[in-house]
Amino acid sequence: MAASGECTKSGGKRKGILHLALAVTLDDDNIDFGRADLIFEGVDHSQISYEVRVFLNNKRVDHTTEREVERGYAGRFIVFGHGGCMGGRGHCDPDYRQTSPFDHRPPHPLLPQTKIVHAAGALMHLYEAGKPLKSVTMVPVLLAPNRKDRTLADGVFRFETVRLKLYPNTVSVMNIVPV
Amino acid sequence: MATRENASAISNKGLQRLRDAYNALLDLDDERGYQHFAGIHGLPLPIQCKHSTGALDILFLPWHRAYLHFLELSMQDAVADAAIPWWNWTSERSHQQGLPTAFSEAEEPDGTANVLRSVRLGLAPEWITRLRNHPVLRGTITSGNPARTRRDPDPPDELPRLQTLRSIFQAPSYQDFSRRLENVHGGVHGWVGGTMSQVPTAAFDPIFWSHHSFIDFLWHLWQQSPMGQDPPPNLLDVVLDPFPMTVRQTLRIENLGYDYAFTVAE
Repeated sequence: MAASGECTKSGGKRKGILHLALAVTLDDDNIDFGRADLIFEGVDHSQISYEVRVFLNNKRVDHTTEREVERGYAGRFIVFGHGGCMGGRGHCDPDYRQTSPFDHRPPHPLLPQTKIVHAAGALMHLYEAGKPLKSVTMVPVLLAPNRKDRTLADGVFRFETVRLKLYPNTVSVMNIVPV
Repeated sequence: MATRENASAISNKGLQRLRDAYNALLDLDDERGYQHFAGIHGLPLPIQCKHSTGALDILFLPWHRAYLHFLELSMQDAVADAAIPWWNWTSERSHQQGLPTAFSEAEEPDGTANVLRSVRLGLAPEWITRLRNHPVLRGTITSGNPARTRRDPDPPDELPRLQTLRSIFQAPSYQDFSRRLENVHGGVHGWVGGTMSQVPTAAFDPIFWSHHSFIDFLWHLWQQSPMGQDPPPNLLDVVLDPFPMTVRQTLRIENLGYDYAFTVAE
């Protein structure tokens, strides 16, 4: 079972915050999910550490917003960052490597990551209120060395795609590995 | 068989062995020393730790198990029965006081600086200079000479909760469990701040090892649980470089000569 739709990506009023406008309606035919994953692919982790807090149907959020389901909070993911490149030219660029069938090196350590937010609770909260899922708002927060700098992150959070995947509420299918 | 204790309820003997072992390894400048092991995870290059990256992501748990195992062997060469205690950041005590007292108090009982609170970075001067000139990483170390590890933690109640672990333990696959646990693990790195907050420096902070001891403990518990599964077969013979050990060889901690003590209430 999957719910997806065309997304419109836009920046929020506060730097770094991203909104995705969606059109996902949960009706009684597809509400029987045991798990709902927001899957972010192609997430960059080459720079400073940061976390991304994800809210549903609430664009008026920032890093100070309480992480409560009533505010649309769905969950967060953490990027433990490499802090920027400390090597020479091409050192931190996975595409710098040539491809060869004789290359037995481990995969480049800075290949993008896949991050998952388990959003079933927040999604069910919307359903129970009879509301369609209209937006996903991502609030990146720096995990800086100094506490005073742990604020909105601008330009650090980069990703390629995001998908919402619903899993039917049966134990056997729960073993499916999210892709 | 070494026993890893709860860092918040560690025995006096266990704590003394830990401090003695870290001090002994800090005096070693070769491949048995503290700086060598810290540098495997981060600087100096290459950074060799395994976190979520493409097909490598599910090596996070076995790689760090091997990492702690090899450090612990070196510790035990210096101090018999030394073991890395685990820091339960979900406990009520952690949510009240943050870091375990043994890792946060300024001095050891004899009045010397507490080796578990901060250590010098044994990186070559050019690396220290590069860290200090770096817009982000300069906050990971102290400004004095020699450069030392530092922390700037968030409020204790911001640490992950037991409820989060309960959710992780319901993970239906090894990959799912690993990803969920790694995510929470990253948040604790960020919570501690300072040296721990970024990959290149994290392992220099002594709390790093106890943070990962708890991660390893959780993996061990999940392995024992009805939900526990081994990693996919195609990964079992992957070598966890730079350690001469495969994923398969990390799967049973009894084969690695340690166990966890977890009967002490907090």
